[in-house]
Amino acid sequence: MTVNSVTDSARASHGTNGDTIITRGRETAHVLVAIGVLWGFAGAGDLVASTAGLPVPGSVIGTVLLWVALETRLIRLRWIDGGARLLLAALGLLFVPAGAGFVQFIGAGAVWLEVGGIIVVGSLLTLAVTAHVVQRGLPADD
Amino acid sequence: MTELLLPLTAAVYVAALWLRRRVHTPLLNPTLLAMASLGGVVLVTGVRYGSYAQATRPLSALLTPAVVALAVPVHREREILRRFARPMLLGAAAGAVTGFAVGWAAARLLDLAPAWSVAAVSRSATSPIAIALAGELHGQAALSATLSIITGVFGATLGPAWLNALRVRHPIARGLAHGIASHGVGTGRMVEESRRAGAASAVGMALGGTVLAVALPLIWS
Repeated sequence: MTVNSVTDSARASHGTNGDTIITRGRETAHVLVAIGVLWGFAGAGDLVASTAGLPVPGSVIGTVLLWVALETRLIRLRWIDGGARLLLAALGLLFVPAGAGFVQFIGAGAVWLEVGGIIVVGSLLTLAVTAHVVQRGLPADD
Repeated sequence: MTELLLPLTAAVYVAALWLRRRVHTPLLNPTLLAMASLGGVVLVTGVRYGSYAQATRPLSALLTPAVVALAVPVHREREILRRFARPMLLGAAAGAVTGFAVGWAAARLLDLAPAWSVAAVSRSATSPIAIALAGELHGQAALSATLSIITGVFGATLGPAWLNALRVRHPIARGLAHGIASHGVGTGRMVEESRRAGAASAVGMALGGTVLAVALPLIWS
């Protein structure tokens, strides 16, 4: 990845504008292929879920499958890194449309207060429990 | 007309990012701000939410590969995960169970409607996972996404001070706790604290979300 970007930037500074556009084009194509691969894993996850009759979202099974594929080097990180980075960086934008749907529940009234309480108490407890369990189990030299 | 809703969504988000760079406070979460603004647009212009969702479908569709992409930070930070495997896995399990138990018990106690119960229980998972779970458990995607984002913003805003008060200083403990309790928004906050805290938080977000997404449908019913 670093080697690639070094040669790419060298090419961009020495070459003509045409070369830069070709390099950009290749990067864009690379990102699109990577997103396609990620989609493929989600599809495989869907297949596993329906075959095994699991009610688990296919994309989440796809996450586990991709992780295994990366650890076993079946899939190399550099093949998908660009696309994955782009999607994770854009995550905040991607769920805006779904989130804007809260307008359908805006008149729900008191239940918002109850759920607010769950969020406050639940978050503080979750933070405290997680952090304490981790801290107690840390290696002595750290 | 509705063709403009997708570029408008992107433009509002870019404006929210710009505003966040000017005014530095975790309360001003770009996603929350964009959601509120676009919800306002939908209400004021009288566009049906269904039409808005249809017009912005390409963005929502990308949530599927984005969830799969969560495997990448876990793989990239494998050194940290290997070194701290035991405390991180134990912490992630304890935290995920706590978050789930509070949501579950409260939803039962308060007798919440089904869609609200699903959203309350999946609130600690990152929004794309909460949305996927809403589809699986007959919840409401928008409600689940909203509660997830509010949970993330709350944790990212008060979490660091809360852990200071509890004297939790180790970056792995702080990071993982934020990843479990407040997913992507908390991770963004932890990246600002240190590289290790950010890495641990990314791992926590992926672990917590995956555990919840696998366990919840199996025990829900």
